[in-house]
Parts: sequence; structure tokens; C-alpha cells
Amino acid sequence: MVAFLIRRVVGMVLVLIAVSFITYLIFIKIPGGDPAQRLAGRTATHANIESIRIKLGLNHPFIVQWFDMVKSLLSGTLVSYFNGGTNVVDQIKQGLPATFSLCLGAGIIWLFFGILVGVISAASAGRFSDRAITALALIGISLPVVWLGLVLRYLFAEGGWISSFPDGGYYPFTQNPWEWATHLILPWITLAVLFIGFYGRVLRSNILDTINEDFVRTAKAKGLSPRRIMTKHVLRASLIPIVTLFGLDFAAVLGGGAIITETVYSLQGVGYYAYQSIQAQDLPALMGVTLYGAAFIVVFSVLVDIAYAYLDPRIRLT
Amino acid sequence: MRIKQGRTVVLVAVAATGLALLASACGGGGSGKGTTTGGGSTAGKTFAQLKVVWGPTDYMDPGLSYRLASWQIFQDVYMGLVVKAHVSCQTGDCTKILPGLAASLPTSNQAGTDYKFTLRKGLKYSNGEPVKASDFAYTVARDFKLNSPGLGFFANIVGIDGCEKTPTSCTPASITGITSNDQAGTIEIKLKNPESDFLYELSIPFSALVPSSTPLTDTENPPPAASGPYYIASYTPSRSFLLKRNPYWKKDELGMSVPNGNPDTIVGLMTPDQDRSAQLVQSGQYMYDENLLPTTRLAALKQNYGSQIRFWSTPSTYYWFLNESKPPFNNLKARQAVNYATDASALVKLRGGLAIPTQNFLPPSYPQYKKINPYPYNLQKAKQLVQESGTKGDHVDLYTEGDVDTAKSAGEYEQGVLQKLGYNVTIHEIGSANYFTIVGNQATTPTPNIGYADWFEDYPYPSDWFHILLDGDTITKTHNNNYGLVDFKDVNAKIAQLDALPPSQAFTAQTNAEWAAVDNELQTKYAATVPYLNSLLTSFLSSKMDMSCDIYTDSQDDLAQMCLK
Amino acid sequence: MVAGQEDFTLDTAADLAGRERDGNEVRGRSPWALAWRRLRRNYVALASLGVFLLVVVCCLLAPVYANHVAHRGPNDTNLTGSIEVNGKSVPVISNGGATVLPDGTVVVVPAGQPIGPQWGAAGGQYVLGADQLGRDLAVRLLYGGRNSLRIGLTAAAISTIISVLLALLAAYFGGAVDWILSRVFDLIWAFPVILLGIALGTALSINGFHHAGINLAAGDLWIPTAVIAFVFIPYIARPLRGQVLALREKEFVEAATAQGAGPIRIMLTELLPNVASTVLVLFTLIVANAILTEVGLSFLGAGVQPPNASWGTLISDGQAWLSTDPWFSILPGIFIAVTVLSLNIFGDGLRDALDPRAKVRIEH
Repeated sequence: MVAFLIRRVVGMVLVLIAVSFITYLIFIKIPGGDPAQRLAGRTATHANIESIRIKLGLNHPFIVQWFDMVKSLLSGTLVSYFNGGTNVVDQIKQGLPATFSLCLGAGIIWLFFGILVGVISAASAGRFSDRAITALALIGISLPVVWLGLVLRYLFAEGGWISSFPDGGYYPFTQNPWEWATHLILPWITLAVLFIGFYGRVLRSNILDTINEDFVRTAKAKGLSPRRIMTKHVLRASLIPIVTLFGLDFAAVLGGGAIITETVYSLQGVGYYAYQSIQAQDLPALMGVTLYGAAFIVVFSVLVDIAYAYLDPRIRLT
Repeated sequence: MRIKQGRTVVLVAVAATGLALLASACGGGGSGKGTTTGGGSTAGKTFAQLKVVWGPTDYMDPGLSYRLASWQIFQDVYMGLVVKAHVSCQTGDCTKILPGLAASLPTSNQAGTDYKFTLRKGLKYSNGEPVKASDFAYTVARDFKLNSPGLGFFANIVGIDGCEKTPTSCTPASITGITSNDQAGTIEIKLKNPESDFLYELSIPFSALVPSSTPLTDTENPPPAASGPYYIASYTPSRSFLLKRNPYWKKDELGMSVPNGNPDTIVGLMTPDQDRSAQLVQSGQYMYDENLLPTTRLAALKQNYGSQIRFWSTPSTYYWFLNESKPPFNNLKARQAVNYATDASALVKLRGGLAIPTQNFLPPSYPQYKKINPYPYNLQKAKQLVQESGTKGDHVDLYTEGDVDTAKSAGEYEQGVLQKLGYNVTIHEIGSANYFTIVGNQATTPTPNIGYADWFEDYPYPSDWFHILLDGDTITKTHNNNYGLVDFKDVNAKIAQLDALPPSQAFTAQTNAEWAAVDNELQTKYAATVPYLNSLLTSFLSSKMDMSCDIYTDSQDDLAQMCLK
Repeated sequence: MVAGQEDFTLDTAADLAGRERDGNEVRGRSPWALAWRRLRRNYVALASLGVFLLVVVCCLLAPVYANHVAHRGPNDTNLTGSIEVNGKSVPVISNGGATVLPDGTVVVVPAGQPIGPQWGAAGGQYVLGADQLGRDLAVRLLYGGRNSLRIGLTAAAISTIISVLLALLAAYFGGAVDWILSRVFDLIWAFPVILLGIALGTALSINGFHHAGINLAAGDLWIPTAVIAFVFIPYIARPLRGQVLALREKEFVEAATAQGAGPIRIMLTELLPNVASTVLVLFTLIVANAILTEVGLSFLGAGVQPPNASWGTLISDGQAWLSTDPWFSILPGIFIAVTVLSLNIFGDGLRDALDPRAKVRIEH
């Protein structure tokens, strides 16, 4: 177990290093031109581009620059080009409560309903309720998130049907829990719908596959009740891939996958900050957010591997 | 200044004998009649919290910000030696200069090159530090250290040359033209030449005093300590701000020119989304909307909430700047073609009708304004000109603000116009908070060939327009306001000559005609820019607010004077 | 009961055994033919395919619609024009403006409201109404679909081809090649899809792409296509690699090697056909996801650039009008949902048809 962990952590660090390098490549090399030339604002002295370059270390070799950027990100001193050089790491930290609230709430909803939907449709496989659920699930995964968000906003917040729901904005939990919740209900639903459909289908097909496995036949032969078979054996085996899937999806959503939902509902989270940075062409900010997102996914994938190994007795961690 | 963008302040070195300009009727937004008492009917109506929705701004540091959105807040936070009266521009003289931190208007010598101020006694900043005479020199030196857009305003001060050459080594002591005595509370400012608008320059935020403990770097978190009735307790760029009462503000200390302030705190939410901000005030969640009302719902809002909405005409011009240093718009015919092809009435519609079409650079409320019409809309002629210019098919990079709906649509409209003319246009939609910083940087790639621009007067004189925006002598590498790099030698010379007139000649019929001629020449002869409208602004207050307390000063609605019903 | 017309399932086994006994011919069928027959019977899947093709055809006919019905291109603004409706002349964008009276009061007549859906009343113009720049929404919807579909299909195709290649190479050669390629997949996969798309899309929209001899302007449609193709590579390559790894150990590969077949021949004739069904199904699903990704990227401003329309940019354009004209945003979304749904249903049906494991299914 320990050897596995060490290997995975080392691998994780290597991937993160490579990710930071690629990110730097994307933002500095692709747009072309001299980054010092694209710099604007208070750090630029009157007419001396050279002094800007020296100040930012842009006269150093590419590798050194990249290293400095990583250092500044880790030490929390990476600054944006604009807004008076706001600290990118601070801005990300400020956005975390909104993003966490959104993703955690949506995650719980989609996990719960996804499992529910999957179990129901598997249990009634072939019958009308199964077909109906499958149809709804397919519709769910076909809806563009942005469109669903706008439709919900229109119907429930802007008077399309009712206007009792607040039209976006984020209220910190510590300020007013009720407002916090009401402002997040529509975004939670928006984010969760896509995943509910997907998870329902995956679980359904897992359950149906598991039912055919030998160990289930053995359990039936042993005379266990169908209910017990389902909950103790089938479900446990079918849920394992769901757990790993959830871990990865949750990480992806947390790491910036919620950007569209945050933008549609004006939730001031990390995703919204990424969106503002796109508009402002604020490259250091986008760099920071991209690395933050990648870090989440990488870390979570290691956690998920460990969880998977723990849950599935067939896997032996070597 | 720009409605939603910082702009570099330009120096205006007008030779004059001091106060004459101030004594004359103001030529700008105000109507010159009425009293200067501000806050009379709005005073004493205190309440706990004013919630406002605001547009994003570039900075919240008075040394750096050059936007209406910030200056509207600063009028109650940062005081200069003198201030503009906080009265309504519709009923009073809102550009009248009154004593601010100084006890009275300054004395000056006969030539108008030497001003003496005496500070009021016992003033303190919001952090408890006493307001010192030497703080003025400190503020000016700090502006240089910050590479402020407002440096031009100080160019006429004796001894400023060292700071201009090497801003990073600017110290209060090196500016020999400013001497102060903290014991006596006196400040003496020596100018190289007479300058009729010097007091105006002392009334704007770049000249507002900050304590000598303020860091010599961009200070936003929180912004510098305040000398006015409020201080900015916190500010998160593009998200929120919070104003609280300045605990050291002496009531009625500055006279009726700066009110004590009705709300105890002011909570600000910042968003560029015009629709959302209108929605927040409409639903009563917020009490005042600083953003322009959205075109999409203007008619509905006007119909249902007409009594809570005010429309203000402003001395402003919206135009497309054309980069004259690079093809295709270094070609006169190409520039003329764009002027012929741009239909101002279409752009007025995109703004919901909150605008008046124009082809002049100066706004119609100025005495120096003489209406011209050199390029009536004519698409055929425009296409022909493009053909003749040989620039057809050239690549054009068009810049506009992407998160403000009116600017975005205007940009896309103009893109369509240019494409009809045969140009190959790539549009760049930039977030409004940094838009002008980006186009004002000559090193931005790809170079903007044409871009969105707007201008609101800093003070009511054409030098604030031509000298800052279209004068080849004031082009800078960064924080540039002459985005098109307009540089016509004869025009530059004319502007310099008119700027150097004594104040007694500043508003004569002859001078007005000469300024109008500059306006005409830049457009008719050179097609320097593509002006298309003078803007209206809107104020939208929630049903809780008393509309008679909505005082629209030269820096827009005064938050301090707002009151509940 | 005609000989040789049924699939070989448990139900029909007895019949076939009987027929064999009786001397009737049993015709063997390739897996592909069997799959095709299964697909043919899946009416829902076929109907979905039909819907998808219908959408594609409609969008391909966009120029026809623009030229002959609407008489207007997708980017033709029309702020000052008017159209004839029932004999009356109506401005496309409402008129209005402001005047300042001598005493300083301001009179405003709100302007800028676009004309609503005309259906047939204006002779084919502005059937679905105009947007705030006076552009014909119906035309933009069709052209937008054209762009979205083009990007989705092309990106999916490119991505699939590259992924198949890389997966084959990685799984067949193993060792160092496999290790490097797997790390490459891991690296791309480590980025959240939308963030990587945004990062690349934004970086490329500043100046275009001008390296390695390729010159793409900032608004070129190839940029979002390439970005989306790149982002989806690990989602195809990884599962394929796993499959090929398993196949590599099978006897027929060993046999081919023993016969002296080179790596390329083996990959093309032995391995590729056996993963073809997986590739097909994956391709369908990736097209659906590519379209959704393009919508998201364009909405955020990192995909298709103005004035080009795509379903994503149309949704973004309509956002400001949500409370008064929700159709600006809702209509493109319906098109997207229908297109993606039909692809998903068809993909499901395709997977069912190609499923090599002829297990007894509970559904039938």
C-alpha cells in the first residue's frame, strides 16, 4: 500500500509539473509576440520596455521564467496584469466558497438522484418506467448546461412562469443561510441534471451486468432474498465504478467545470473569475485558474484510485 | 474622463492670470444660474444603509483611477485643496470651485504664477492622521511614482522636470515649485506659466490629498485613507466595495459645498451586466443603479418605473478612434470612407435612443461648438473611396468592450460596416475594466486599427478634449489617450496657441470660433476620428428613494445626498 | 419462415438445428451484417438518425434559405431599414431618440427594440424575428447550426483518427512508446475539458496561430475545431488502448506475426477491424460532446468569434434579452438539444446493434 502511494504521489507531482509547463506554454508562447509588449498598466514605465522585461524576468531563458511563475503561484504571489495587480491566488481563494457551495450541493443531488434513477430503472428493466427514465436521462445529457441554466432562470426567476427565485448572485452561508440556499437552488439543479442522467444510465448498465455475474447466481442459489442480493451484493459491486466516476467528475466540476453555471447565475466563484479573465485577456489569472483546476483533478484521481482499491477487494494494490 | 475607463489626464498649460476663468460663466454642463448651496434640502435625512449597484472600474486609488465610476465615489471620499460644488448641474453651477481642505480660495500674485493656500485647522484623515500641508507635495510625488494617468496636470509646476524625466525617483523635495509649512499649514505653488484652469486641476482626485503614510504603490486593499465624509473600507475589483462614515470628518467643516452625508454606510455591488443591475433595483434589493439602463428593457422600464428614472444630458462624445500610424487608416480616403459608412442613427438605436447623433468632436453644450456635417451617411460613396484608397481587402483589428452590451453591439455593428466596405475585420472584445488600459498601450498586439472610445469632460473647456485626445504632442507609450496616434502638426500648433491665451480671451467670440475651426479641421480636412453620438446617462433609483435627493453633480449622482422617502 | 433470414439467437437455435437436420441451407452472416440487421429493426434509433440528418440538411441549405427566402445574409445588420408587413412599413429596429429642450430637460423615446417573429407576414423575411442588430434570426440559426455542426463533426473526426492511430501505436508497440503516449494522454486528460478549451481558445483568439508554417487568423473556424479535437483525444485513446492491449494477446495476432506480417499490416488488418465497432460508437458520442463543448466555449467567448454565428454565440447574444425576448436564447438551445439527443439515441442504438456479446437481453 505504501509503495503504491509513494508511486502515485510521485507520478502526481510529475504530472503537475508537466501541466504547469504546458499551461505556461499555452499562455506565453501561443499568442506570440513579446509578453512585455502586451503588458499594460502600472508596471510599465514611461517608455522603457526593457525595464519591464527585466522587472518580470522576461529577459531570462524560458525555463527560468516558467520556474519563477510556478514559484510565484505556490508562494501565492502571482499577480494579474490588471486591476492594480491583484493577487491571483487571493482571487481564487475568494472564489472558493461560492464554487464549493455550488459543487458540493450539486454533487450531493446528482449522486443521490443518479443512484436512485439507476436503481429504479434497473429494477424495472424493460418495462415502461425504465424506458421513460432512459428517455429522460438521454434528454438530460443532451441539454447544453448554459441553455438549461438560462431556461430555468427565465422560468423561475425572471417571470417566465414565476419569479420567486432570486436571479443569480451568491450569498455567503455565514451571512444568511436561507438566502445562501435559495440563491443556489437553481444553479444546483442546472449543474446536476446532466450528471443525473449520465449516472443513472451507467448504474443501470452496471447493475444489469452484475446481475449476470457468477457470484450473484451463487447468492441466488444459496437462497438469499432478492432484496438482500440487490442491496448487499449487486449494489455494492455496481456502485464501485460510480464512486470512482463521481470522484473524477466532482474534481472536474470543482476545478472549473462549473464555469458555465457560475457565469449564467453570476456566482462569484473560481469559474466566474476564469470567465472574467477570458474577457480581460488576463493571462496570469487564467494560468492560475487552469493550474488550480488541473491540480484538483490530479489529486482527486489519486484519491479515487485509493478508494477504488479499498472498495473492490479484487484489486490488490501492488 | 472615460465613462468606464481610466484615461490619462492631460496637462493643460493655458497661459492666463488665474481666477478669471472661474469667475466667468462655466461653459460646460451647468447652466450657470442658480445658487451654489448644495445639500440644503437633502441635509439631515440620515439613514443606515445605502445599497448601490455599480459598474466595474479600473482602480480605486485616487492617484490612478480615471473613470466616472470611481470619480463618482471619490467626490465624497477624497478632497482636494479646492472642490467642485456638490450641487445639481441642472439647477446650479456644478463646476464652481469652492474651498475644500483649504480654508479659502487661494491668493495669487498678479501674474497668476504663484498660489498660496492655507489649510483649515484640525483636519484629520479617516485613519486618524492629521492633514498636513506637506501632504500635497507628497500626493503629487506619489502620482509620479505610480505612473499616474494624471501626470500631465502637474507639468506646469516649477521644478517638476526631474519627476517627469525619472518618475521612479520623484520625491516631494525634488518638486521645488511646491513649498509647504506644516506648522503654519500653508502651501505655496509656483507655476512656470500662467494657467487659467489650474484650480480645476486641483479639484480632481489626482490632486486629492492622501496621508504621507500611504504606500507609494497602487493601494486598493483598502484604498488610501480619506479626508472626506466617507472612507472606502474595502474594495474587491469588479466585485464590491464598502463605504463607511469617516470618524474624523468634522460636520459642516467644509461648508455647504461638501455635505455631511445621509447614509451611514454604502454597500456597493459591481457588475457590468446592465440588465442585472436594473433588475436588482427594480426588485428593490438595491437602491441605486449606476449602470446605464439596458436597451433591451428601456421601454418597459420607462413605462413602469418612469418616476424613478432620470435621464441626464452630458458633455460627452462617443467615437471610433482610427489608428493613423498604420494601414489602412493612415490613408485619408480610408478614414473618410469609414465616416461616410457609419450611420450615427443606427448607433443611437443600439443605445436604446439614449443618445443624440453628432459629427462634431465637441459636445453641443459648449460655446465653442459649431455644428458640422461633412460626412452624411452614404455607403456608395464610402465604397468608392475605399476603392480609390487602394486599401480594400486589408486586415483590420477592431477593439471594443465585450461585457457592456451597448459597446459590444456597437463594435459588432461597426465590424459589419467595415466588412461591407471590403475590409477583413477581426473583432476583439475586451472586458471593460481593462479595455482602455489595453488600447492605451502602444505595445498591445495585434495593434488596434479602430476601436471604441468615449469621453466625458473633466472640465468645460475644449483643451480638455483636443489637447488630451487628439494632440500629437501628448501621445504616451502607456496610459495613452490619443489612441489613434493622431498627429497633425498644424493642428497641434493651433491647439498649443489657443491653450496659451490669457483667461480674458478664453471665451471671446473670436476664440470660440477658432476652437470651432479646430473641431472642423480635424473632421473635415483630416477625418481624424469617427464621432457619432453625444450620450445621455441614466439614474435608476428604487421605490424607497426620494427622487428630490438625487443630486446630479459634475461627478454624477452624489451618494452622500441620497435619502429615503 | 424463409431460410437464413433470422439472427442466430438462443430462440432461433432450435429452429436452425431443425433446418439443418432437414437439409436446408444455413447461411452464415458476418457480424457486420448481423449488426446492420439489428440496427435496421431499431426504429427509434433510425428515427433519431433521421432527425439528425434532417438537421444537417437544413443547416446545409442555409445559403439557399438566406438567398431565396430571407434575402439576407447571417451577418447583414439592418438597424435603419424597414420591411413591409401587411401593407404597412415597419422599422426592423424601433425608432426613437433623445432631445434636450432649451430649459435643460431631456425627452427620451426608447428605441432599439427588434421586430418580433413575422412568420409569413413579411414574405419570408425575419420569419423568427430580428436580433438587436437587425440580423435575421432564422438565417443566423441555420448558419449557426452549420458552423456548430461543422466544428462538431470535424473535430470528432480528427480526434477519432488521431486517437485511433495513437492508441494502436501505444498498445501494439508497448514499452517506451506506450509509456510516453500514455503520459501524453494523462497530461491532456488532467486538464478539465472546459478549462483547457478556454485556455487554448483564448490564447489563440488573441493573435491567431502563426507557428510551424500554419497561419490561422484569430477568427478562423479551424481554431475551435482543433482545440476541441485536441481536448477529446484521451477520451477516445485511453479506452481504445485498453481494448487493443487485450486484443494483442489473442491468437490471431500471434498467427499473423508468425506468418511474417509487419506491424503496420497487423495493426490495419487484424487490430483495427476488431475495434472498429467501439470506434464507431465512440465517434457518435464524441460528436455529441463536441457540439456541446463548442456551444459552451462559444458562449464563454473562447470559441467561435463574432460576427460568425454558432449556436453557442447565439445563446450568448440572447442572454441580455432573457426577460423580454427569451426566444433569442431558447431557440438555439432547442436545436442543440434535439441534435445532440438524436445523436445520443442513435449512438445507443448503434452500440446495441454492434454489441458483440450476444447475451440474452432483458429488454426483449
